[in-house]
Amino acid sequence: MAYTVISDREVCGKKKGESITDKELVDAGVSAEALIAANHIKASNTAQPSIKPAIEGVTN
Amino acid sequence: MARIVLTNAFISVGGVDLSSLVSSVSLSSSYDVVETTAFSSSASKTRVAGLVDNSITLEFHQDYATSQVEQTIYPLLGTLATVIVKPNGGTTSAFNPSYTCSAVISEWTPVNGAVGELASASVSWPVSGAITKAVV
Repeated sequence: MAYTVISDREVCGKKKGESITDKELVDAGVSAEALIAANHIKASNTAQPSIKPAIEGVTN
Repeated sequence: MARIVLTNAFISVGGVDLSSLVSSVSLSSSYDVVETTAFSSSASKTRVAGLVDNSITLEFHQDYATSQVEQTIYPLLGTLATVIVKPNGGTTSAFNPSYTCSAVISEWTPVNGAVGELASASVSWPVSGAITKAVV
């Protein structure tokens, strides 16, 4: 799980816009839930773009 | 080593750098003193150090804005949070050691102040376990 820093304050040494991982948060002994609740980080959008399968016989 | 005037101390609570919203910091350790006096010819009490009790005292400037003091501390109430203190915000070294502890966020005063005063929050949090000092 990865998060993006959205806070104006540094979070575990990371600045706004930088990415931070679960492992980094655990290593720092901090709670992801508390940081999310306080609007310091948000879950990064890791969803892959959906690719529709090509349909035979259909041309664009 | 020169004397130091604290002007740029670093304070992180729960992973968040709140230095610019803290006006006072005190990290303290106090050992129980256990008496071990027994019959002897010295006629003096003897003692050893017992359990250590660590705590951290902070004075915050209250700020309710997004990602500031109130929003950072409130979700931590009643939990253990990692607190890091350094005399200076610069690189950790033997001359700027870093102290890390796990504090019990046991108290909070969301609203505190008199008319015309800066809203502030003074807390004294007990530490669970040891304080770790790092110099690199």
